[in-house]
Amino acid sequence: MIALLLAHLVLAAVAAALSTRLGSRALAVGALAPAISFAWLAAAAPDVLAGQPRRAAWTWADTLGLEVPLLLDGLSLLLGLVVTGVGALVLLYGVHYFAGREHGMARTSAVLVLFAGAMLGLVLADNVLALYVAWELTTVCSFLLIGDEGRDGAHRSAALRALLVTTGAGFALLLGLLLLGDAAGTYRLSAIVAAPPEGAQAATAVVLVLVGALAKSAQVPFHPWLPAAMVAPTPVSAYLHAAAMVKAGLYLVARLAPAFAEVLPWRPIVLAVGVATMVLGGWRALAQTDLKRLLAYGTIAQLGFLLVLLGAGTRTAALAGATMLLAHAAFKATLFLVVGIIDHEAGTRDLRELNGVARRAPGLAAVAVLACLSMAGLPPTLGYLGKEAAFEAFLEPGTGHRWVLAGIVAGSVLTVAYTLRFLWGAFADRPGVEQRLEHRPPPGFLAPAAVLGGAGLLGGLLPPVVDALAGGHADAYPLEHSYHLALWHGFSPPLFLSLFTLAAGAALHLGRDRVAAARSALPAGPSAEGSEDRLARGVLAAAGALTRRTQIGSLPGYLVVVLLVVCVGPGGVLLVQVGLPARFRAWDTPGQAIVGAVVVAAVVGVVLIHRRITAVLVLSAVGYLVGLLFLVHGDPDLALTQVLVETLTLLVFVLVIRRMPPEVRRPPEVLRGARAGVALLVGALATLATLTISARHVPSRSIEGYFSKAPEAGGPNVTNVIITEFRALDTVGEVTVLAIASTGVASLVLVTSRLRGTPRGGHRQPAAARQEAEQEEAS
Amino acid sequence: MTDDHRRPVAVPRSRLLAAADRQDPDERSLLLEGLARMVHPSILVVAVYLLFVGLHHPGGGFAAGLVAGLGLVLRRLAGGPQELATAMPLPPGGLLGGGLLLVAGYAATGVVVTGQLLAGAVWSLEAGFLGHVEIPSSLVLELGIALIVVGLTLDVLRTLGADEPADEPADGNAERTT
Repeated sequence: MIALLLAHLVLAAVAAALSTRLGSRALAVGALAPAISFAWLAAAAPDVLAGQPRRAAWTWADTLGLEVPLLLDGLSLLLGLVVTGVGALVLLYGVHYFAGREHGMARTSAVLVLFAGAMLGLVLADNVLALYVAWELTTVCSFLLIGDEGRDGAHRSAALRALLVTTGAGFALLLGLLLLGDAAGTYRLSAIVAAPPEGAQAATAVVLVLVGALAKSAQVPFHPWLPAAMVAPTPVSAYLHAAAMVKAGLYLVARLAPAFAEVLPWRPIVLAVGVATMVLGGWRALAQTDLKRLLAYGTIAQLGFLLVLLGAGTRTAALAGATMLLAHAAFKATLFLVVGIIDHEAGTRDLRELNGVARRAPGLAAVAVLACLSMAGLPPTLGYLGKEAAFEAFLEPGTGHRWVLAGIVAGSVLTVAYTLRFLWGAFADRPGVEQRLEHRPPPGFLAPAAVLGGAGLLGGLLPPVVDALAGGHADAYPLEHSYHLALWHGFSPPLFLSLFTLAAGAALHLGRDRVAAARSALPAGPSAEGSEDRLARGVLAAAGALTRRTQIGSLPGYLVVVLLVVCVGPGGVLLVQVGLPARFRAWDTPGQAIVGAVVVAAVVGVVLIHRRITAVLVLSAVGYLVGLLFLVHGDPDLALTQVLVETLTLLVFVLVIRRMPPEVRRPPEVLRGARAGVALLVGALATLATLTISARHVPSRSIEGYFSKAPEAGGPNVTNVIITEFRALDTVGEVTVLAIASTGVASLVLVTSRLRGTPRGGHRQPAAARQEAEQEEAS
Repeated sequence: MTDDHRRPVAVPRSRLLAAADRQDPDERSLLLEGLARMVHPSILVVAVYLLFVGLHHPGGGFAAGLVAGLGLVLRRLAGGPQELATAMPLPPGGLLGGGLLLVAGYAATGVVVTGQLLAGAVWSLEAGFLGHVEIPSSLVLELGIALIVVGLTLDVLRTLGADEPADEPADGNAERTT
């Protein structure tokens, strides 16, 4: 299994490298990775379904006990087959779709293959943290693929919306997974499900995980990112935003439902959100004129349906959910590919501008009808099997089942209606509209769609096979009602419900003008998209306000804050934990006393002098005198460095000060008093620290060896041997910081001088900066 | 310039420094240019000396870098920005990056050779009239440190030391000390 994941990584690089020479045909090379994985999964299926899951583990930090365990059980197999099967076909389809595209082919092919690998890793991972990493990898791939090359605002804002919603909720997911792992005492997913933790922490964790999962699967109220993501190329929409990535949230729900369906907030959240999503998605789909957006809202509706089924926590519902998941992956990917072909060949996907597509491309229409049969739930298709099972699941007794049944019947009616709308929109004749489709799509372009559409029919004709595959997941539940998939269950309630949805859906489609009139008569409700935008703007405004309050643009102000923190924090600790030194000597030699006295005098001078340049010169005199003190104390090394650094500092000071007014302005009296107080406090702290540190007369244990070992380690100069040998790692860290600080300061100076002249220390600048920020906001 | 018939008095006609004549004649100083011409080679020799002598006497990479950097400051003050570019054609980023590369390479070599990060060694040899010479491997580290310090100085000189853009009206009370 690890080899399969690595194959995706390698083939992503290979496809990217080949794309300069082969163009879009490199995708066919990339398709090898999911195709091989599909074959391997299919070969492993009999064992896994017989109750022998496959395991593998990749240990990457043995001492820390960090490993990535992989587990292939019934649910992983189901999702894995969908991800790799649809992935391989979509990549092959991309060969035709992207033909002739020159820019960004390397990027697109690499990210698509990488996404397939991340998605496979997600469904195989048996460690919640590994799952989270794969989860976010798919999010990043989605961002890159939606944004494409970021040439226009629509791509960028759609990509950003998807990223913000899914990573924001992904953060809740991470938090939830950590809480869950902590409560269970293990981060192994299978162990958590086998022995689910209880209590308030587990319940909180479950809610947080659900937030992440619901956002990933575009459930209400997180759904607006999915229709917006339809600006992406069609293969991306078909694969990420219909068949694979949006199923990640459902996968997690299905994975955890056997363990947590009984935990209190689980069922109300899952069932209510799922039903609401299903009805809202279907209702919105009926209003779309862009075929791709119609499918996107249809996907939202189906994801809601799947959430209800996979999260309900009964065996029949899980069986129905697994079947519907297979069915949805097949028919929705097919329909997206069909729309992609229409868009590619006719140049539009607006149903008001399409005419005569069915007559020009009958094969395309046949494939679409095949998929639509499954979507509407007509026999003999996978969709029919799944819908019958779903009705059956909620006809079984259970709390709230009647309400849920009513909801999914309503949703199914809408599904039938928007399926008809899709067929009517794409293929109907519209007299008076120009026929844009000029020739039939090449067979290679249509083949992947035909295979996927055919899979939906084949599955419907072989209920025992599908029953075994879906049963791999459903067997995680106790066997209460032994329901099995079949095309004919006799004259049972589900059959009548099916007939009702078909009839009502057809009526809804025929009365579409009246539905549209009713829609426009409805008052506009709260829109999730609008509140997301308001939230985003609110965060920006709050951040701006906070910055304006705290970043007042006054250097003395910042200094006062920094110094006060130093006094209260480290100073307080020093005073409480170490205290005042008991006794100290004022000086060792008279020389020290004399130099010290001059230093004190110079410091007083710095405070009193108002001419900047003079004050700086006196200040550096203090520095040189301290160097002299080092020399008198017997450390020429330190003295040399001090003198050199002081010289450099003085020159830098001069370079800066030449742009400032020559005299220091006198601040208001109140400020002066406060600043003097802070200065005295800092001075007291520095004195205390110096006294305490130099009051230590026992040589520290770590330096005992330094003097004896220094000659053999390089030379007799202990100070330098410490720098380059004994504490070389510290030195490496220090010089790295030096290099970073140097680059940072230089960049800051260059940026400010490029924007509005060199900094002058004037007081006009904060206002100017604010104006500039406001202009940016406005534009 | 309106009165170009008037020549400033103390402008050297010979080229003491490579690019000093490309600055405003009013700002040139014979004394500084002569001093820089005479002293800069010696400054570099002192820097190299400090670099090598570090393990036995006061000195080392930091000091060597600072001295070499001060030499650049002198060239900048005497000859202007053009002169600085002539004295050190490398960009500061190149020096910083080169220094970091040396330091990291030294650290990694220790790992590869002895399995220990930053492991050092001393080679001693008898070099004829030079007598007994000890070459510590940490010289590479010192050289890296020195390069980083020179890069830092150059960064400061090229940003804070840049002259005001010509199209900007200078503040009335701005003072020039160079």
